[in-house]
Amino acid sequence: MARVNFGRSPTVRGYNPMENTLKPGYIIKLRGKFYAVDSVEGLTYDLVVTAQGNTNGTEVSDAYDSGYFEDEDLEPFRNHLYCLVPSLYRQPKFISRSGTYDGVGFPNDTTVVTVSSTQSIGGASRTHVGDISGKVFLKHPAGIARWSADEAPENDKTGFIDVNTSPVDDPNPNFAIWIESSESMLPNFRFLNDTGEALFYPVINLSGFKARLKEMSPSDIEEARRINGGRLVYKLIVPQGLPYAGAITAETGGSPNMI
Amino acid sequence: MSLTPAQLGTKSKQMPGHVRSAEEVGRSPHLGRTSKMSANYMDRRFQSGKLVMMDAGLHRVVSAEPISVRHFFGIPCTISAVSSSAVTVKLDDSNNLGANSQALDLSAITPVVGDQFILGAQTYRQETQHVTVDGVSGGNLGSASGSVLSIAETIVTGRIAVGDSALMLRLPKATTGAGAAVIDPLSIDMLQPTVPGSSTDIPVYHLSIGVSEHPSFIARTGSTTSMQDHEYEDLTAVVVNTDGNKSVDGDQIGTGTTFTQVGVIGPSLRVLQPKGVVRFAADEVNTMNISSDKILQGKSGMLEVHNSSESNMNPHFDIWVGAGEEDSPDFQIMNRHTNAPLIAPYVAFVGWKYRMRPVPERELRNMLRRSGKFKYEIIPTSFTRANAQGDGRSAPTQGWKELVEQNRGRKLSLEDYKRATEQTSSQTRNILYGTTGSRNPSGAEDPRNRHRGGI
Repeated sequence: MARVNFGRSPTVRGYNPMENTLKPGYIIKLRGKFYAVDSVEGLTYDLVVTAQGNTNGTEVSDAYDSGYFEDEDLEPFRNHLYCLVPSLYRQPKFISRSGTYDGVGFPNDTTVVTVSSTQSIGGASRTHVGDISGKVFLKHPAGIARWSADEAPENDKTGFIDVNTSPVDDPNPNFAIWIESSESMLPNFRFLNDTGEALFYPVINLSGFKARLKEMSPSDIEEARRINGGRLVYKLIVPQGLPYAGAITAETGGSPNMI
Repeated sequence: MSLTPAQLGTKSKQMPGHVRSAEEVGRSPHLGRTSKMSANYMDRRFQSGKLVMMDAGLHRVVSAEPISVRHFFGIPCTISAVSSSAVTVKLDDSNNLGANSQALDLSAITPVVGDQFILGAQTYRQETQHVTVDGVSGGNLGSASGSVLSIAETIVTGRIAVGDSALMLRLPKATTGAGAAVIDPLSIDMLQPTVPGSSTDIPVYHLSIGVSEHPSFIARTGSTTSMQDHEYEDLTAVVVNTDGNKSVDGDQIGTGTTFTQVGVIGPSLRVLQPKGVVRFAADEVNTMNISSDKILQGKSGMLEVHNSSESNMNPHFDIWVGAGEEDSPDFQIMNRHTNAPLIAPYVAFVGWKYRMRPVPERELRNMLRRSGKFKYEIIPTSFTRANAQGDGRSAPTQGWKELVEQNRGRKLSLEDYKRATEQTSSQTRNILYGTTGSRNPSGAEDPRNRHRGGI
C-alpha cells in the first residue's frame, strides 16, 4: 500500500497557544546576547522517516526502528530561530468483527465468516476504537537525550512521545524545541514502531513558528532601556534548558524578566 | 415555490436590492461541516483608536469589521464553446504544471458524470454559475477538442461566454508514480483591500486561513481507497467474497457492513507572500521546486487539515493583506493524498478588516508632550520579504547589486556589512530607531533633497 495519510481527528480541536509565541518587537536574551524580534511566522515541517520518502512508498513494518537521524534542512538561516513542536500522525486502530485486536490492521469485512455449515454472519463490521502511531525519542543537540527521567536517560524506558502525548492535530507545546543556526544544534530523532502493525504514514510532524532576530548593539539596548523608563524587559530563551516559550515566563516567576 | 417573509405574514419586510441567484453564489461545503469540535475564532485584535506600527510607520485604527471569504479551488479551464445545455472546456493555458511538470499531468484528466464546475471566474467583476456534469464526450481536458460536457442545469448564456474561465471542482488523487495534483499559484482578487479614493486611510485585512475538510474512510474491504472519482463507496453494490461463492447481498456476509470514517483529510496549501516566496516554510526548503520529490514529500510550508483547517484555524498562520507595501498573496493548492480525490476543495479566510489612518507628526508630538511616551501594537510585515531579496544566509537584505552600487568606491567595514546583511525590516527599524529610518541607509532621506526644491 502506498503511503496513506489518514487525516486529522474530526473531534479534536488544536490548542494552538499564542500566548508564549514570540512577537515582533519583543526583546529576547539568547546565549548572553540581546536580540530584537523582527518578524515571526508559522512554520510546518514533515520529517519522513523512511529513506525512500513516499515517492517510492511506503509503510514501515512492525518493530521498525529508524535509529537516530537528523535532517540538515532543519537548520535555520543566520539570525533565524525556530520553535517547533513534534507530533505524530494518527493511524486508525480497529477491533475486528471477530473481537481480536492484536495486529489486525485493516480487516476485510466482506469475507465470509462461517458460523455453521449453512450459515454465515451478516452485518458485522470492524470497530474503530482509537488511533496509533510510532513513538519518537529526541536527542537535542546530538547526544543529549531529552524528555527523559534523570535516572533513565538512555535506556529508552522514558522520553518517548506518541500520538497519545502529542497528536498532529493537537501538538503538545510542552515538548517544543528551539533550533538555532548551527549544524551542531540540529535535533536527532528516533522513530520506533512498536504498535504490532505496519504504519502507513511514518512521519514526524513539526509545527510552530520561526522568528527573525536582529542582534542589538549596546547603544540599541541603552535606547530600549531609556525608552522604557530605565528598565529593559526581555524574554529569556534557553534552548537546552526548558525549551518552550511557556517555560520562560515560568522560569522568571510568571512575569517577563527585568533588569 | 416558497413564500417570502412578507407573504408569510410576519413582521419581516421584503426589501429592495439586487439578489444574485443561488447558483451564482459560492456554494457551501458539499458535505457540510465535517468536524464536530468547536473552532478557534480569531478575536478582534485592535479596538478603534488603537495605535499600530506598520511597515510604513505609526497608524491609528479607525474602524473594523469581520470578514469571511470562501474560495474554491480545482482544475482551471477555459470555456471554448457554450450553449444552454452544454459547455466545452479546455485546460487553462496558463497552467504550466500540466504535462511539463513533475506532478500529475492535469491535461490527461477527463471530467466524469457528477463532476461540478464553476463557470465564470470567482471575482467580483464576473457573474458565475455552478453546474453539474451529466454527460461527457470529446477528449480529455488537454486535448485539442477539449472536453464536451452536457450540463444538468440550464446554462445562462447571457452571462457565461466563450473565453470565460471554468473551474472543475475536483482535485484528482495523487499517484506514487506521477506525483501530486498541483495547481499553479494564483491570486484571489477579492482578498485585495479596496483603497478609498478620498482619504488617506489604509485598509488592512487580518485573516486566518483554513483548508477544507473531507472525510477519509476505510472501505468495507479494508482498503483505504474507498472513494471513486466524485463519490464515496457504494454500499449497495454487491461485493464478491474471496473465499466462497456467496454474494454479500441478502442475508449473507456483508449485509450492513459499511465503510468506516477514520479521519478528516484535505488539500495542501502553500501561501506565497510576496508572490514567489513560500511562507511558513523552513529556510532551507522554501523554494517552489517540485521536480525532485513530486510534491508528495514536500517537507515544509504546507497548510493542511491537521495544522489549519476551516473548523480549526491556527493563528500561527494568519496573514496580513494590505499592510505595508506587500501585494496580495498567491495561493497554491494541491492534493497529496494517494487514496482519495478531493471534491470541491476550498480555502476559507475568516478574520477582520481594519481601516488605519496615518498618525500625523503633530499628534505624535502632542502625545509625547503630554505623557512622554505612547503605546502601540505591531502589525507584522511578511516574514520572508528580506529573504526574497537576499540570495542566502549572508546576502545583503537589499540584494548584492544594490549594495555594490551604493558602496562603489568606498570601503565597507565589518559593521557596515553586518548591518547590510542583518535582514531587518523597516518595521523593526521603526521600532528601534523611530519612524525616520535614520539608520537605514537605503531608506534614509537624502538631506540634500531639502535644498533642491524637489519632493
